[in-house]
Amino acid sequence: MELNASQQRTLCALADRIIPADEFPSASELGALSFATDLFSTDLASAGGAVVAGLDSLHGEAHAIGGTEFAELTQEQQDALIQDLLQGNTRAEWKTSAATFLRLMIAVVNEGYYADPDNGGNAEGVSWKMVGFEVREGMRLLPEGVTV
Amino acid sequence: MSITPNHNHFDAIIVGSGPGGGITAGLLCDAGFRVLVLERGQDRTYDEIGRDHLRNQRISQYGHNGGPDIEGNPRVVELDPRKPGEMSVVKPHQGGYSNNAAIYGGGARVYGAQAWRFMEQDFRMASTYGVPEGSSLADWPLSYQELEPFYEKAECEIGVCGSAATNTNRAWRKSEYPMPALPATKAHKTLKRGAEALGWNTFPTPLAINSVEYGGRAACVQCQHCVGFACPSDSKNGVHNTLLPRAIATELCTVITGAMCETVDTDGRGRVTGVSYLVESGGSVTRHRATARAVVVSAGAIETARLMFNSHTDVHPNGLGNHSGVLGRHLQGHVYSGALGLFEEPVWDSIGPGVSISTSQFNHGNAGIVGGGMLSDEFIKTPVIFWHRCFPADVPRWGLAAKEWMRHAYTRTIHVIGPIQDIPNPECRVQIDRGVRDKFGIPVARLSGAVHSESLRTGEFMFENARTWLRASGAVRIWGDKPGLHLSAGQHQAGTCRMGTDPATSVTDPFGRVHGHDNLRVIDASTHVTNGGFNPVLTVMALAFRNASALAAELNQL
Repeated sequence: MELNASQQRTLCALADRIIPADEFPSASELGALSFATDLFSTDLASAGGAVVAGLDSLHGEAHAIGGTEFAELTQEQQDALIQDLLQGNTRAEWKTSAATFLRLMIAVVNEGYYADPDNGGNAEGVSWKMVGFEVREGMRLLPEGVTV
Repeated sequence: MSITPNHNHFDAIIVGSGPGGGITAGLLCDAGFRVLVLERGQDRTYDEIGRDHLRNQRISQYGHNGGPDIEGNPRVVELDPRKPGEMSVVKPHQGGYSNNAAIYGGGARVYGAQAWRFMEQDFRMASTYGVPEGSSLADWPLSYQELEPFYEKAECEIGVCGSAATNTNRAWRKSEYPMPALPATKAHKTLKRGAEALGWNTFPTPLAINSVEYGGRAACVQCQHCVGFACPSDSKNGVHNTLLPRAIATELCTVITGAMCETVDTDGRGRVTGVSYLVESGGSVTRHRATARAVVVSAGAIETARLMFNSHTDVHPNGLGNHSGVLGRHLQGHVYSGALGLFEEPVWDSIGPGVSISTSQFNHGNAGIVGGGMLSDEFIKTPVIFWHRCFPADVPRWGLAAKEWMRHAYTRTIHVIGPIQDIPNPECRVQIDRGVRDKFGIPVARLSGAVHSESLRTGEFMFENARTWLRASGAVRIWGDKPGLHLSAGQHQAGTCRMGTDPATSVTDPFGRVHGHDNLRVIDASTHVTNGGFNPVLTVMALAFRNASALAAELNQL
């Protein structure tokens, strides 16, 4: 999947509303852009075209409500737009369902963020530290009554 | 692994290197027989199986770590049981495929290793409960008593840890487990308090995992990647690290991986002569034939039935063992039922494999219920599984609220769940679809049907029991869904070559001999008449020890 600069900005902004920054990083800060572009170029290549079209439609929606691109809307406007689109309310032209596109992006961004770092969307396992899942090897409790 | 045989005649050919086939190989080689094991999957190392959180046997969003390859191995599946006859072609990582890992060692290479004995009533379900309308519930043609010594053998030779002494609802047994139970987790202690308040008996979950050094291999390192992955310390026990190496050490066992069996071959009278198989290597496919005194099919309930159908001849136009139309029917696995509970304080201590406490309080003796089920706490969930499967319906799946839920709930949630005793019906079935072929051109499996209404009723009953247990243990919020209508098969797939004494209603006799074919055996969960309210692998293993011993005793006469 090839994205132009505008589509990349839209994807990053969308990913960062799906998983915003707080005291832990946002989705794009952990690698959402490269995770998603890799996935839509390989395992989900069949959805790549629809995703590019969806990002363009999201751009169109932003223009319809704010006269600017999605990344330039306020966070409140972005959230309200996502919510609206999930309910099927559209202003711009969509080749496939806006809700379907957003549900797919929500799943993919979360998959990248919470999967293993080797998948590319969870740099240094930061999300694992955030939730408490830490990979610990070679340390063990002994069964009751067993001593070394 | 690919060892080219320098001869093509064997005492026995075994199709499939999972628990059934691996144990059979071990016992036949112990007895001095020359054996060929054909495995369609590859022998993958720990590193090759890897720790990909999006492509593993527990969650296969975009692929698998245990095979089969997602391209070239389709099945045809009735995805919505409410729309019978509406078939879809699905890949191994997609919903409805009912995949069990295709790899050297079988599903046990990447399983969670719960190692349960069935209870006495599980072998005589029809006598105990009657036969619900529309079901094919029946008794096994053998009793728990007959299988007990082989359960013990399986526990000792494969290696199982547990504490039989603390389980008050189990079948009788001669001996304690060969290894003590793994240590109790924080979730275990939390749930134990709840069960005690309810007056329910609990005990440590029996696992085919080394809790201490055993069989020359190390104790479990209690990592967080058990179910769905391979073991970093080789402490998770299957046939790949027990019976198969033992068979290979005799130099009587030839194993060929990447070898897909196309047909079990028979002569004009129907006597089994050997197998035809295909091997893909370096992009080219070669066809082979091997002969033997006996053939053992241990390919798992779906692939075993598929092979028997695909081995049809003029003499057996509907497939081998299908004289009465029973082949492929009574497909069953386990309906899973359970609930999730949120606790005020963390209940997580990162001690793998995660599953630690169980109750058999509700496996039998439930008023108005046919059978019942077991409940345990769940294996450690990867965070991405938690995101996909553990959100209450009203928690948003995106935005700060979703992130905060992940952060708050991941270490405070216990999932209580277990398999219920499926009530089999003949319409759940494997057939073959001649219109859809795998990469070798072999007709693929076609799956259809849906679980019996009694299975769903038991599912609702166990859903309420799971909620009760979580509430009594201090959960402040409980959620989850009752099981819905679906085809139950999956990794616990069973039943497609039902055993029995009457050839009119069964495919094999009580020792897995296919009726009408003395030298063709089925040794895997296909022969299970019913599948218990427990993970079935130890029963597969016990039956394999029993039936492979019988085969070894008579192989010279075949």
